[in-house]
Amino acid sequence: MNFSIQTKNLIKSFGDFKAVNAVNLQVPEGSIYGYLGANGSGKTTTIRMLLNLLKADGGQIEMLNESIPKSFTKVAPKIGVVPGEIKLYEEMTGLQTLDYFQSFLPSEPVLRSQLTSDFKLGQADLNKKTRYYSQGMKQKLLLIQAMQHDPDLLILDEPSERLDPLIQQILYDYLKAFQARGKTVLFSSHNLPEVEKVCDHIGIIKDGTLLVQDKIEDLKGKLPRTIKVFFKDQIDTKDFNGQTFSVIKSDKKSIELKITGPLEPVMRILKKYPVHDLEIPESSLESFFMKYYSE
Amino acid sequence: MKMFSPPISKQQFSRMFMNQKKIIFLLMLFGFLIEFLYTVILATSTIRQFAESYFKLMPPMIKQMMGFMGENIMGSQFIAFGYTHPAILFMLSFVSISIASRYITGEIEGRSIELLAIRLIPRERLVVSTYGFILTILFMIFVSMISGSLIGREIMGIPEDIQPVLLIKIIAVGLLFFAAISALVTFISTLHSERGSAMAWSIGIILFLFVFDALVRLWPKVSFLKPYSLFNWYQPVNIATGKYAFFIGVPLLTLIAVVFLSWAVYHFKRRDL
Repeated sequence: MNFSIQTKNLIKSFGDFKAVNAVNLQVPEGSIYGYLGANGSGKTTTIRMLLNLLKADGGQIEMLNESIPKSFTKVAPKIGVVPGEIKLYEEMTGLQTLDYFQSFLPSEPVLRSQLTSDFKLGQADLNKKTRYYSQGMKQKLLLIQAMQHDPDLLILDEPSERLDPLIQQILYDYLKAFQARGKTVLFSSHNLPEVEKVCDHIGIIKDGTLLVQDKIEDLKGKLPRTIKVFFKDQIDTKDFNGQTFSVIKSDKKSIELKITGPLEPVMRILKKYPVHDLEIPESSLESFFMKYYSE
Repeated sequence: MKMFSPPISKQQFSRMFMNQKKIIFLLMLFGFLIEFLYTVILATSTIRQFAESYFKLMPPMIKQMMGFMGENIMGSQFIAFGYTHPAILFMLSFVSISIASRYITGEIEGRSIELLAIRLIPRERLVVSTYGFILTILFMIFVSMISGSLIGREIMGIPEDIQPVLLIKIIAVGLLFFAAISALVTFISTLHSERGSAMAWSIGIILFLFVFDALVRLWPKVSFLKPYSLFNWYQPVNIATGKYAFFIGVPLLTLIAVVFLSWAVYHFKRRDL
């Protein structure tokens, strides 16, 4: 598998505080990777090291097959970034801001007109100085500047903050469209439902340590879940105890199972019985996330 | 193939110029008027007499500090003094401090550096561009000051020894002196992450240098320290009287400028933003 971003044992400390501790981030090419963690968990510090803003104390970074910081100059024109909280140049209009950041790039702002129209930032807004912008408008402007040159890699630090739900949905659609064209998105967020909705890969960071990273679907498959099966006839519950599943509750014609692995072994046993109904609830990443975070 | 990036970014340079154009115009006007005023004072006998008697009343130490020792001030000395007037020194130092702290430390404080540092690359171009912009403004102000002197001389018809070559020497040394000051404050700006602290340190250090210069001029016991005073190397009155040691002053100021600018670039390249 090719990775657009790959870090090996990335470390960053601020004095005695270890902000990022041996993080091995692997963002597959063409993925939307949700980088999830509570505030202060090390997400932004990781991103700032990727962007050559902070020098890593240890470890290696590879981005778009180039070593960072050595070849950052080569990579920078191919990326688009929405930083966490920045102060825009208040003396500039929205349009001047877009032109200014674009002017450093060799490419054209091919997506700008589409983006301004979709994000509902009209000509009148673009001609206003950014000091008169609301927080939401500033965020939209930052998103447009990040995407206007159609970069190969988008690095977004909590991009949907301050956006209304309608614009959030437009952003998600854009990210999916980016992905469909083979581009990669690193989507940092502390909002799990949003990551679950937008991303196909996830990495969870806590106290500077990457706890888990995987495809969301695969991760869900590995999470413990409870299923309920209703049968037409009586069953023998002894069959339903295996390495990765066990009976929680049963009566003559129904059974509740806890599954800690893939569904296949259970389905194989179920084939032996006449199943009347089956309840397989969506496995909850939220409870998984909360479990890790409460530990 | 590695792409060549000029050390000064034209985008950053023009952004700074567009932001500051009104202030630059006002500073140029102020510089012009101050130097023009000196020619008016020089040409208008009653005011000149008043100024001369005012200088005569000053204690010798103060006159020594200002570069005036004789009872009869030469026209060129008088005009040269206009280039070290505290208002001019304050204005030119303030240009360096405010620009460096705004466009280097201010970018870090407002975190706009997070966007700029991935576009304006390598990042040390921000330091060089800002420094280049400061020098350009200083040059423009000096040119307007010399224009004030020359136009004043023509309008007032001053039949004295104010030669353009003398004024050119004054602005060359002045530019070099403020290039050194600007390199110092640029370096200070790269050390800080808050604009306020960068400004406070820069102002504090320049004030210290100014007071140190006053001390070594006024206190005979420490006068041997005079060559170690930075302000000692910007003395337009000495240039007018032929007492300025160009062979020491020019290399020394150049060295200070080069050392601090290189240090600023080196530090900014490596620091966390």
